[in-house]
Amino acid sequence: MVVSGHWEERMKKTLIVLLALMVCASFVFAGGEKEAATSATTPAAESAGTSTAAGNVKSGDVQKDVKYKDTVTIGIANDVNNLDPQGSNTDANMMVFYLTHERLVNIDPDTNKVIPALAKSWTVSADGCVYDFTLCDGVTFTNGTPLTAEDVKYTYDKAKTSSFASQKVADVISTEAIDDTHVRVTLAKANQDWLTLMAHGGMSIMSKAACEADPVNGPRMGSGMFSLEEWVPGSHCSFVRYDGYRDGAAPTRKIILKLYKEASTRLIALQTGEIDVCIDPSTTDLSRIKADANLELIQTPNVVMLYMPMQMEKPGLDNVHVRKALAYCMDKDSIVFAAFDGLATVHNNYINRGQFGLNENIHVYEYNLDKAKEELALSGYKPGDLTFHIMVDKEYKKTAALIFQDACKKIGINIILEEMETAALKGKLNDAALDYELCLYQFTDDLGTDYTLRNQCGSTLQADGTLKKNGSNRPNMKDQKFNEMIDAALVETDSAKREQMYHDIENYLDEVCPLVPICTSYINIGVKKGLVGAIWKPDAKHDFRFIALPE
Amino acid sequence: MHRYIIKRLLMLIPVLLGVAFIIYAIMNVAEGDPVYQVAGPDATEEQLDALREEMGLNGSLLERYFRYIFKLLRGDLGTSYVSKMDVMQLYLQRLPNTLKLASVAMIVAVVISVPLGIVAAVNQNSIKDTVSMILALLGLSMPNFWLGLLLMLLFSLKLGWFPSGGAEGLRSVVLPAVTVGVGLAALLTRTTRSSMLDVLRQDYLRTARAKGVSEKRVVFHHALRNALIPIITIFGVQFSNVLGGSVLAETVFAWPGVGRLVVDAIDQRDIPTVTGALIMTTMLVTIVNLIVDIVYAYVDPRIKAQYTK
Repeated sequence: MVVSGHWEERMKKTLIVLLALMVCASFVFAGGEKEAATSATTPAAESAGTSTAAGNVKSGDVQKDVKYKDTVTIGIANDVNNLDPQGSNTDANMMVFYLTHERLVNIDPDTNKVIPALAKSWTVSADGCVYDFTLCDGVTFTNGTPLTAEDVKYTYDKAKTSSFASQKVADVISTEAIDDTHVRVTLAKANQDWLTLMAHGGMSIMSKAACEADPVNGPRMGSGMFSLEEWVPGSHCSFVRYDGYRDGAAPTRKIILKLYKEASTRLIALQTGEIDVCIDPSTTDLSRIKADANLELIQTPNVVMLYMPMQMEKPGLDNVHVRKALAYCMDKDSIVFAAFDGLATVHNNYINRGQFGLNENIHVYEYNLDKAKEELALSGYKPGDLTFHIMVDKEYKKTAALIFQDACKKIGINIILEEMETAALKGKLNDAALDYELCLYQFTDDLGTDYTLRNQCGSTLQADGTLKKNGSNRPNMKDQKFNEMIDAALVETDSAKREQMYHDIENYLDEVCPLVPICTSYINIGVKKGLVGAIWKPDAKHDFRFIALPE
Repeated sequence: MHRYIIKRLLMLIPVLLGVAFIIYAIMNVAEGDPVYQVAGPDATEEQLDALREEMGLNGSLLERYFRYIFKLLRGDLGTSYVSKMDVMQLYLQRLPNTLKLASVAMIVAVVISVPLGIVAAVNQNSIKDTVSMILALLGLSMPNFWLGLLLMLLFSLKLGWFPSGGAEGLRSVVLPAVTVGVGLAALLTRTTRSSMLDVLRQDYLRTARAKGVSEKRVVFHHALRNALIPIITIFGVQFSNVLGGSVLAETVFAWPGVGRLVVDAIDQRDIPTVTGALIMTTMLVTIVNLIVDIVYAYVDPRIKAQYTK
């Protein structure tokens, strides 16, 4: 077939028009609207709560005369992958345990104080070692069977053998069921943070009978306001209201946690109405939520602390002046700007934001290359002598590491980035060989000051007199003086003295410099306008028991 | 023919054994001890040892491999390290979604590609041919996560015709299937065109035309049937690929398929899930290949005669 010159000309024009249309269409459908400038904003909504008679924390205004939707669907970014409270500690799983289970005590999100939950009251012995709990009356599991002190004992005993919960009950010598509603827990030593640990999702009370009858499905049943309806890993997890709940039924009949791994899809699902809550939308999409009249953006500072542990037994990093030189190279402001789009707060403390004993006047390793050079000179190493590898697993951490690498280069320390997937990074950090030097990692738990310090820098004295680092002690710090300081603070009953002790501990850590705290970021949540009742927790383990959306 | 099918099915056994070994070996050299993925931060040495024993991680690679094979022979794919669920159950939960997506995507691909390829071949070097090939090139070069997001913005957000994600109801499969199907259609279009061009030049078609057979009958009855073998081959290969999972489309559309199951399991060093899912996928792919070979026989009697020999 012969194509004439006229046809060729027409064909070219047609193709140009077609291509132009496609490019235009892609801009239109990809949302050609101009992005609003993002900046560090003041949180729009902090969690607010009130306590019910039984000590459960409610948030927002769930009103009796308002008709609420039957089902609320929450778009989550990470899968619910284990329904045993003592079998994992991920944020997604913890959100489930707040729905399905209860703990002896809860934490008031406003005051950060321990408040009653399953235990309506308790007494503590004079030496702070014996806790006598009185359980609420008429507590039943969601299958209708009564929850008794035996179930509490079973749960606490079981926690001793769980690699996720054992540290929380490490001080517990015994748990006794006095009668159906009275439990006595005896500790080896006084522990001012112990009740805080008991509010963690991992200490959710399970049914002894159910767990013994079916070790896989038994732990899924609790005495919470919801019971598990369906779990399809990789897709969704749904819960239905337990109408026999002693403190009145939840305002919403059914809650669905639906997995949307891709942040853009999660936001589109919120905009189309397929979901009512979008957890953790992309920071570049926040302006879209703000611009949408049907949606509301909730921003709350979190306690997820980004930090850089320095493996203190590695050559070079075993020198405190080298560690201090590296600390002075950390340009935290630039990291907040570049890696978090400004949506983070610089953090200089070893204790997490909002925790008891945080030292506001701590010496700060501000970004200062002159001081970094001075410290390097004190270390005995010369510029060019040192090369360290830094492990990173996410794009924002890579950005932070690049900023750090650039600063270190200016003082003659060579930093090599090692990008790896999260599982590989965790594997290297947890491996007994401790074959790493630097890393960008995050500390996410909010279980009291002692837990934070003990986990991040603590070690345990072994029978042979050596020190063994605690599980999450990434800097591999083995310092008996530090251990003694935190042990002393833990048992101190005078609040003012205890606070001062934590100040001293932070000052001591500042001298040792095992890690560099960098920042805490924000939790962003997109919700449909009018949504009430959710408790947005700074540790990202949100509580949806009272969530409700007006029809 | 039956003997041929039985022979092919028996060949499945060494293939599966080989696949299982390769996966085991790869997971063994992958960085990160799986026991640390499963154990909590508070795990003691004793707990780690007990967990290692429970997870079957003790012993050499070969010992572990043979232990696994013996369990596999009893139909036991093991238990997920993470969810503690039976791997077979996890896989079977995802398989219907993957089959649904793969089937509809292949239908989309065939509906687009075969007519386009025929039109291009019959009108070789014309504007129709050029437009068809440009469309094929576009389909091939467009990243499917990008196309998926565009489709979602148009058909979910702007028009509200289809859900943006999930696997509930028939409407939910449309967008992911079109996304995957458009990519697959590109190669099928080019294959259909080149195969048709080869056949259209054959003498027997000239004879048919000379005998007065209509052009429509020449193309669809005589040419297309003989051009089908390469098309079926590519179809089979692509269907097998989609059965293994379209991870990007599954992620963009929150589609709970086998691809995401495997990728998530790799992330979590969930060896039983990775191994089990890949073995099942290998089995499926082998069966698809066998079906393709059987279809050859029905399309081309000469191939059937070869099988019979």
